[in-house]
Order: sequence, then C-alpha cells, then structure tokens
Amino acid sequence: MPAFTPEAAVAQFGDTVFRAAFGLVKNPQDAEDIAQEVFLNLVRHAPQFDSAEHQKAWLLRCTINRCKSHFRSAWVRRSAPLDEHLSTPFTPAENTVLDAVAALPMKYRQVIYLHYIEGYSTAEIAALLDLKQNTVLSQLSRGRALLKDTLKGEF
Amino acid sequence: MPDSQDYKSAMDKVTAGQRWKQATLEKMQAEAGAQKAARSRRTIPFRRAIPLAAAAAVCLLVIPAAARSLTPISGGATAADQASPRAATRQMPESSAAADNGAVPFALAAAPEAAMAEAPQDTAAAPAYTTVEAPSPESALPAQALPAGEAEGLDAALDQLDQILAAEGEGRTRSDVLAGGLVEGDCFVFVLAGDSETSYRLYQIPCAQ
Repeated sequence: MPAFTPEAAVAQFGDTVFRAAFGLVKNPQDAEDIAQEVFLNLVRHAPQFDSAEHQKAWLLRCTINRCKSHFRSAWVRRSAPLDEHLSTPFTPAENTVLDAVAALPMKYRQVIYLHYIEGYSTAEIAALLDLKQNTVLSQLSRGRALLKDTLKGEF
Repeated sequence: MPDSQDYKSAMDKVTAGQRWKQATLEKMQAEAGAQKAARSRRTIPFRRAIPLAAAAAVCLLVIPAAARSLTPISGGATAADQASPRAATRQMPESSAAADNGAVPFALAAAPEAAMAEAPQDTAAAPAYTTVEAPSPESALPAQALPAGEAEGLDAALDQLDQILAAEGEGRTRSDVLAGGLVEGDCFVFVLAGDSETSYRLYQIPCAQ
C-alpha cells in the first residue's frame, strides 16, 4: 500500500464518498459536508490500511455512520427536507427511483446502496457494517420489497 | 417502470465537484498541519519531562530567593539579613537599658532619609583629640613640646579650639585647658581632662599661616 496522502485519498475516493453520502441523505449540500468530515476523520485518525479496498471500506463505513448521525441531529429532524438534486439533470425515472430509495428507512437504504451501487456482496456488507450476513440478507430483501411496492415494478 | 438500472445510472451522475475537492484538500492539509504541531508539542518523552519540570521548579524557587537576598537595602543589610532572626538580634540594642536610653530597635529606626541626614554628623563627631594616659596634664604633652607662652598665633589657636569644643557639645571652653605647648612644625597642643583621672585629651591645632 503506497503512503497515504490527502491528495491521493481525495482523488481516488472523493467521488465514492460523496456519492455514498448523497445516496443516503439525498441532499448535495449535506452530502458535501458529510464527505468532507469523513476525509478530515481520515487525517485525524490516520488508520493503517492493507489495501485500497480496505481504505474504501473504511471510508464507506465512516460515511454511513456520519449519515446516521446527521439524521439523528435535532436540526435535521425538525427541519423540512429540501427536495434538492444535483445540477446534473436526472431523468424522471431516475428521480422516481431516487425518491423511492430516499424514502426507505436508513437500515434498508444503506444495504441497497452498498449492494446495487458499490457492488458489495451480502457477506462483504455484513463485514463492513459489522452485522450478521443473515441480517443483511433480510434487510436487503425487505428493502427491495418496499421498493418494488413503491415503484410497482422489479428491483 | 423504474428499476435498479435507473438507480445505478442516477448515482453514476453523482460526482463531487472540483471546488469541493479543492476545499476538502485544503482542510485536510490544515488539519494535518495542526495535528503535526500538536504532536510535536506533546512528544516530550516522559523521562526527559520529569528532570525538565524539576529543573524549572528549582529555578522558580531559587532564582527569586537569590535575587532577594542579594538586593541591598538601606544600612547595607540585605533582605536576608533583615529576615534572619539572628541578624535582627545582632542589630538590636544589647540591653533593655540601652533601649530605655533612647536606642531604637532597627525595625523602629528613623526613615532612611533621617538616617542619611545623621550619617554626616557621625563623621563630624569623630574625636578631634587623642586620648593620652598620663599621670599629669603636663606629662600628657608630647616630649618635644615647648611652652606656648606668648607664641604668635596662640589666640587664633585658642579660638579654633573653642570652636572644636563647642562642636563637641560638652560645654568645654579654652578655660578648661590644663596644659598647652608648641610642637615643632608650628602646631599648638592643648591638654584637657579625659574620662578618668589619668586620662587626658590632647588637641592639636595647626598654627594659622
């Protein structure tokens, strides 16, 4: 594993972390703040990584934890969410599915994101989130069922 | 119907902006710098920190004390002398009788200005005479002394003697002179009574030019 530098970390995983944050909070400004805080944590704690995959998993885990903290904060719970999307236009179908995922409870949303977007297997998600694999499997199937129900189609 | 492919394509469009990346990098570098500075402040080894702290404590205690003890105060005594009970005893009057006679313990002494005013008087009060032990006033005169008689300048010498005696404040005048003479080298000598029967005071007055 080459020596860690802030430039390398942001260049390699900046999009991944920001995307994960956006996928979970569905607000670009909050996602930017969360992703930035994750990278600052990387500098503060300076953990040792075995590989780039290890570093990516650490960053995703940290991002998910930050998103959970974000939703727990009193400010977020009391304020009405702004339905903001990125400047990049989404298609109506994309908007629909994003809204449906955003409406899921956090525990389903995180496994859906990790499975469909990051491509992790249920075993890897279980290791990343420190859960049992069966728990991940059941959360994935329940989340998928909720999405099917919302979108009236396959997921 | 929207499906997981739409979800993937939507998320593929999500990328971090260049400005955010730049701001994040700057913050990370600032954080790293702050951590480095904090770590360098913290990394004094424990083994080295203890002697350093001990040395600092000794310096804090010893240097001000040494400076205090070396600072002179009025009368030439140092603050340490003043603080010392032994020094205080040494400077106190020897007996209560002395205290009754007006001697004042050093702590109650007059202000420094008064002490300084007294100092020249002490110098002026130095005896202008020589105490001589002799069986008689005549024998108290120097061996080479000649009778003063009507020597020239005798009156002027006696006037000067009067001034000296007046300065001594013991009420003596030229009439108290027991014996007188002229010493070679143009110097008058006068003998007055001393503190005892065999003690005499010998005053030497240079002749007026």
